[in-house]
Amino acid sequence: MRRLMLMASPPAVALLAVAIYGAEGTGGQTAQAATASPAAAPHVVKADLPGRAIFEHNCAPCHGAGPGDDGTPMLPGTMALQRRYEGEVPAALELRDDLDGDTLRLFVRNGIGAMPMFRKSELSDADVDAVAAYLKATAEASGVK
Amino acid sequence: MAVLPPDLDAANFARFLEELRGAVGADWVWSSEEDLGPYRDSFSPVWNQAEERHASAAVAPADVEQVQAIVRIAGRYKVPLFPISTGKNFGYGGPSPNVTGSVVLDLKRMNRVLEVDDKRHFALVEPGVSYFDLYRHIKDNGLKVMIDCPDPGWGSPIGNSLERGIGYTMPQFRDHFGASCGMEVVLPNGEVMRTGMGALPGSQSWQEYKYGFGPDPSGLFAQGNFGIVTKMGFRLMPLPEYYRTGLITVPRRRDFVKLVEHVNYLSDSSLIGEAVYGSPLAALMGDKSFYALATKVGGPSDAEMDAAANKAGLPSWQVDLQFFGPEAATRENWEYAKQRILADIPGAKAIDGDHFPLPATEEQLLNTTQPYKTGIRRYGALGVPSLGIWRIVSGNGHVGFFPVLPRSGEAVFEMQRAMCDGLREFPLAGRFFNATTAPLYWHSYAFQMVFAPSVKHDDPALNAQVHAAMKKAVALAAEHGWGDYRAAPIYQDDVADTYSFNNHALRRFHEQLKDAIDPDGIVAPGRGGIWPRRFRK
Repeated sequence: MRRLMLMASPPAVALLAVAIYGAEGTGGQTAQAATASPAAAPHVVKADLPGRAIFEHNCAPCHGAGPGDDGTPMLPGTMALQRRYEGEVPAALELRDDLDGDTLRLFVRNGIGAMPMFRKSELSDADVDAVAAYLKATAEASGVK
Repeated sequence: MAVLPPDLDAANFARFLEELRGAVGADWVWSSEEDLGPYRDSFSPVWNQAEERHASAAVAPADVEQVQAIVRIAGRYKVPLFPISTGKNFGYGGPSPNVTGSVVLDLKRMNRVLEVDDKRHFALVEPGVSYFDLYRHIKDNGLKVMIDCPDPGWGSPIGNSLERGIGYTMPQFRDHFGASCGMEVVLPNGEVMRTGMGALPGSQSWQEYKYGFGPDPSGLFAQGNFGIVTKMGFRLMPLPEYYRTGLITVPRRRDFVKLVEHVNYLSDSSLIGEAVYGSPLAALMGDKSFYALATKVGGPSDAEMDAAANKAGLPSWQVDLQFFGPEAATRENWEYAKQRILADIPGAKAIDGDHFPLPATEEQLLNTTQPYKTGIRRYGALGVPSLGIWRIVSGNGHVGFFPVLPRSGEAVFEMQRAMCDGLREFPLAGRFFNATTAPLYWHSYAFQMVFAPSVKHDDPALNAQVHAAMKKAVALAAEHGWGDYRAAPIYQDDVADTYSFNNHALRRFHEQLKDAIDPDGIVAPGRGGIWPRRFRK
């Protein structure tokens, strides 16, 4: 049975690399940047739907398909899904065709692991439905079967 | 978990909510348990415990007039409001209020970038504007200014600066409250006030001269509870032409003292942006014998640490320097920094780093072109909002204690030793405070260190240990003259208690002010450790 986890907490980060982070969140000890080269991002054909802008503004900074910061291969949310599913489903949300509005809402409103909850003032229920429609159309346009 | 505001019964709470709906529309008032879930602090170490603070409702106004209306309704019912801007404030309490039963005043809908001027270098924004929003506005309009952005970038310039958050560029910009210039505030009686030149009708310099005339009360609204900020101005850095980095290493532990003095000089002379300190020896902390040395009771000797560094073939300390400005100026400033430090510290080495014109290319932003391992996180360094840092969050998040210490090597060594020894009963503390712990140079003129243990919603025993460690850390640091700069509501009284000079004269002054303008505690009672008469025990 396919698990409906969107994001799990990443494995404990080595505390020596509890990197730096700042004002909005917490801070940490100086760490050296990862040296891994970014993996080639998967091919995503973005659907021209209203949910695209909502996804790109609110979700893509963590769940986008591109590389992560400072040499990390994936963005944090995408990396977490990669670890969770180990390739069973695509790690990038834009390649997922199995996420309807109710499923997305479950995680958006409740959070999971390191993913926080999002308030209706930030993302309305209609916004979440629009994102779901965009993801499905994008996954299909990108050739996900 | 349904809760009521203090001293209000269910029937009057229902009437209160009905008045709120009348003011902002029914779609923008939330009171169900489901809708209030996202107003909990998901990083809380007291998750599902009696100490957790819960809101009774949330309301999201669209404009200043609606904020005024809400404040007046709350005043009639004596309901505390807890204003939030946008973003998450994780590690510092999230959106959870100081007083259970408060109504969260969610300013997310007030999300206009009112002005960005790239000739006079400022912005004026509303509280719901995020760093992403401001960055996109600047980029979409081709404006030649650079923001200074915290991590992660979902925060808001207003919310972050009112928490005295920081960023990673030049000193005068990475102190976000320090870089603010002019604010509009709804006071606890519902009146609108503007500070600085904003108080002078017709003035065109609200974002250029923050003081106006007479006392400037702006500071009361940062980590305070004297009003609700609905507009705020910020100074912005002109987009620099060029960016350059370089790395300095020094061989011996004690060399850190001189290194810090030189970097202080460079920073206070406006020659560098954030200096990112580190100890290459931190890479040895996975080795049990080195870990034991670095966390030794009383601290290791310089000779012991130098021997370990020699054995590993590593320098004891490093600092990443960053330069902004015209290409020639960045080159000359880096050359000057190298000469100054290498001439004074035997064995110090310098490595030229990546450098390029701004704005950066995507590859440069991804920080894969640096010729050495760097502590710099490029997005932050260049004021580009990102959530990439979220990769380090484990469990359900973490708490955060950030003691402020003097900008000297000796002070760093003393905090390493004292906090490591004093928190020894908490197994994780040695990972945060040990002989390789480097200071954070986020604030313009002070260092900080960090204690940020993770929490898990389903592990109350772990959370209780973290909670106890946080309380002890606050008290222990204060014994040495180190104070936290920012805290979650559950720790604000503990932290405020440590700022106790002359029998808590500062807190008593704040309480007098609070009693004068907000005796019923309509605006965030308890925030910053400031309680109005109604709530004082």
